[in-house]
Amino acid sequence: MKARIRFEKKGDLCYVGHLDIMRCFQKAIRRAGFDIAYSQGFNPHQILSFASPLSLGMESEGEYFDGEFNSVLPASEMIKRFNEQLPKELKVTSFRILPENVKTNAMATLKACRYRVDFSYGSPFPGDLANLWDSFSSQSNITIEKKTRTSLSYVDIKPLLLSGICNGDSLTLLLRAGSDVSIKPASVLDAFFEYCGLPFSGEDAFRSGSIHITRLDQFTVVGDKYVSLGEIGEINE
Amino acid sequence: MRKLALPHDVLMRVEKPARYLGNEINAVQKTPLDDTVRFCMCFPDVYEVGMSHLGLPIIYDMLNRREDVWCERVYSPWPDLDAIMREREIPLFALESQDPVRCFDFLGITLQYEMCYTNILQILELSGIPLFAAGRTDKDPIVIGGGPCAYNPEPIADFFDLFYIGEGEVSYDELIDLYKSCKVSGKKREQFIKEASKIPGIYAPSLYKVTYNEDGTVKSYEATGGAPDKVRKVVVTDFAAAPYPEKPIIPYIKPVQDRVVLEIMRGCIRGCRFCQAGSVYKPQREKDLEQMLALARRLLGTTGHEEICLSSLSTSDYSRLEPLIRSLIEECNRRKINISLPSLRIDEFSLDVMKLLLDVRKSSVTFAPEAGSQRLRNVINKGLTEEEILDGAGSAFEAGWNKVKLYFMVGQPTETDEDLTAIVELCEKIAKRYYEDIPKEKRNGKIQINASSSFFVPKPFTPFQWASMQNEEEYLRRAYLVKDSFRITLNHKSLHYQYNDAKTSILEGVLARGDRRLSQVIYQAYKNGALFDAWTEYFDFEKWRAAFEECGVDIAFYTERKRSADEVFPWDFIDVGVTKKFLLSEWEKAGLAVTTENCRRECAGCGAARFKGGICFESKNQI
Repeated sequence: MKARIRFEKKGDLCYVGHLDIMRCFQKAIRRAGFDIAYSQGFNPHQILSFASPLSLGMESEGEYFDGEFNSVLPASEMIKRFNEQLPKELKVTSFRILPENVKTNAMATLKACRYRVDFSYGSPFPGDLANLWDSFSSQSNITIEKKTRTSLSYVDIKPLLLSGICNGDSLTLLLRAGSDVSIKPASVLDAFFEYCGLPFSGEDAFRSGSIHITRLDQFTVVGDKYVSLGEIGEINE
Repeated sequence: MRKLALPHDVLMRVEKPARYLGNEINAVQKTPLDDTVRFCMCFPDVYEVGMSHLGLPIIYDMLNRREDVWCERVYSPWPDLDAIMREREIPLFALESQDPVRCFDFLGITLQYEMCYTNILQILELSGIPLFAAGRTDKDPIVIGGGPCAYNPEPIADFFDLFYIGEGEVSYDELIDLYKSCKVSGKKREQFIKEASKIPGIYAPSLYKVTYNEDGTVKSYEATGGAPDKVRKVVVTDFAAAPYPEKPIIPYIKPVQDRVVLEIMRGCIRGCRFCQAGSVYKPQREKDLEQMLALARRLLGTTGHEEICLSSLSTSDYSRLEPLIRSLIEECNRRKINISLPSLRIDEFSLDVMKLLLDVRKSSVTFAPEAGSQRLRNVINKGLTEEEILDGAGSAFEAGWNKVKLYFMVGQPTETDEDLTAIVELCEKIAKRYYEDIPKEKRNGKIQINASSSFFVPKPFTPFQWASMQNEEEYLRRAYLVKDSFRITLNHKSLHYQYNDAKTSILEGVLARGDRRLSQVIYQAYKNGALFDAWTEYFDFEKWRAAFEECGVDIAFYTERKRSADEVFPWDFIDVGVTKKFLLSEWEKAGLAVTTENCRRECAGCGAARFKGGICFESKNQI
């Protein structure tokens, strides 16, 4: 059976890259003695698939991977045993069994990610953040430069910015994500900073530590609604 | 909450920031008290290399078992971080506490290879510790070196307060107890060093005066301040009872070796005349079978690793290897765990085992004949005949393998051009064996033979410590001779040959058999920018060549000079058990291509029996 695991990645662990986090889970699963399924062949490996990789240096409250298990314990017990084997900054918060008919994995169904951008480390803005954001986001289109190796094009990112709410010193952004089309929070900030006349990019601000970005959750679409990846499936008691 | 020594923007700028976090699973965190002895263990290379080493975890575990000691780790910052630390004046820190290394009581540096010597200076400089021991004060940590290169500590003697000669399990308790009592009674650094020099296995270089002959060789060593004339290495006699880490640290980033390492044996029964490990780790001692099985299970449980490695200098010589592997295989297969068996002799049993463990289509069988001709193999006392190699290869081909790896050394004593072309002939015979023995329809494609050679570097405490090295030109001539001979073979498309950098071997040769005058050269090379010399992309011989010139030190004096039988070597004040008299007789036998039996067949009287343990006290003629 396939299970979906939601976890947090916080504190110093934000400097551990995606592949290393995967290895960390693989080893934790072995230490916990879970009845995980292995691939066939000469070098069997655990059948795990991780959702969208998180940028290095970013914390998250909503990371996901799907794993194929031969048998499981009640969800609360699985979570407890995971967390006994994991560093405290890497914490499993939910364990659900996916319906049998779900053929695709967490990454393939991903449609959006929610981020919180925290400016409380010293606001760089020339005015009130809420006002600036309101006028920025109410533009009919938001065009950014997109550079590739050979060409320079302009893209309207307005349709990818699903929502943005200002709350004190922070912004909460819901952005399109997935294998078809996606946008990074730093790219939205690039456009916003430029609009505010600030001389640095979102990536610069993130890397220098003057803003903090946390991924809050990841979503798929059910019907016409964005639903958290962690709400798919059933909690086995 | 622990705060990282490096700020966010620095961590975001450097490659693999997880190298510097120190919060790995099973890393030891303690709350230090005023009288806690703070010990920082250093492997002077990058994190992924250092974390793959077996020795440090043993000492880390052993020291941390003491409540009054907190042992932490530090590795060489990669050049990207090195530059930032200098620019921003960030002092080097220990991983666990993130506290500056300079505040520690001890800085222990493991000396695994000569090419890390400049990295030692980087560690000291970034820590803000004076590079030369003579310039240190009571505020600086005691800098102590240990590991294989400590068997000739002289080239780096000026940078160290103490060296630990022998196996870490033996004397650290006594050293730390002494340190604590000195601290309590307000004794100064010099007094501690003087008293430490009386502990078995501890060498305090500042207490020894060296004089030189007119020809530049060492005339004498004089111990002062009550230090012993000879420093005898310490070894674990009750090896089965020695502590072993049961909860090794699990790094986040992938180390070079990402696996459980089970040390099944220490020392080696073989008497290969080029091999330093074979000499300095004598006598051979084995761990108990049941103990190993229980430990293997526990370690796989505490780490979650996917591979277990049975480690030793010569795994086939472990007397209980077969029952150990048979018991492990079943369990490991069930738990999808790989077993890795380095240093395995190719015979029927090992091939049986390998067939269960490896994919014959993808893996290769490895031989280390070290020399191409039987004559030269006798000179080096390799104890491997051509028949054994060909039969081993033949059995491997029958079992389905078609990839063979062969390791050779070029430049060994008495080597002639015939010995070099014999490397090629041996590879051809192996290829021929494949095409003759295996019918076409059963062949798994073409045979692939990968031969590689390194240039021989004579090491202290080996029979070849008297041997002369060649110059770069001659090394390359010999390597080209082998390469050219490969080109004209019948199966040249299936035979591949590669050789390593001759300059690296020459420098290694200088440092391996060097004396105290080299400390200045190493310092100068470091000032010229030499760092990470073990990394081909960073190694720049010109920086070293300039340093030798600036210091007026002649490379050839250390590498090419003929050493007489009665020469006093810079390392002669160290007693490794194996006597100089025995080594000399082996050197003479080598010249005559006469072999010596291994320890299990017959005691050669090397001198290691004085440690009263291991193979020296087991019955002979078992093989």
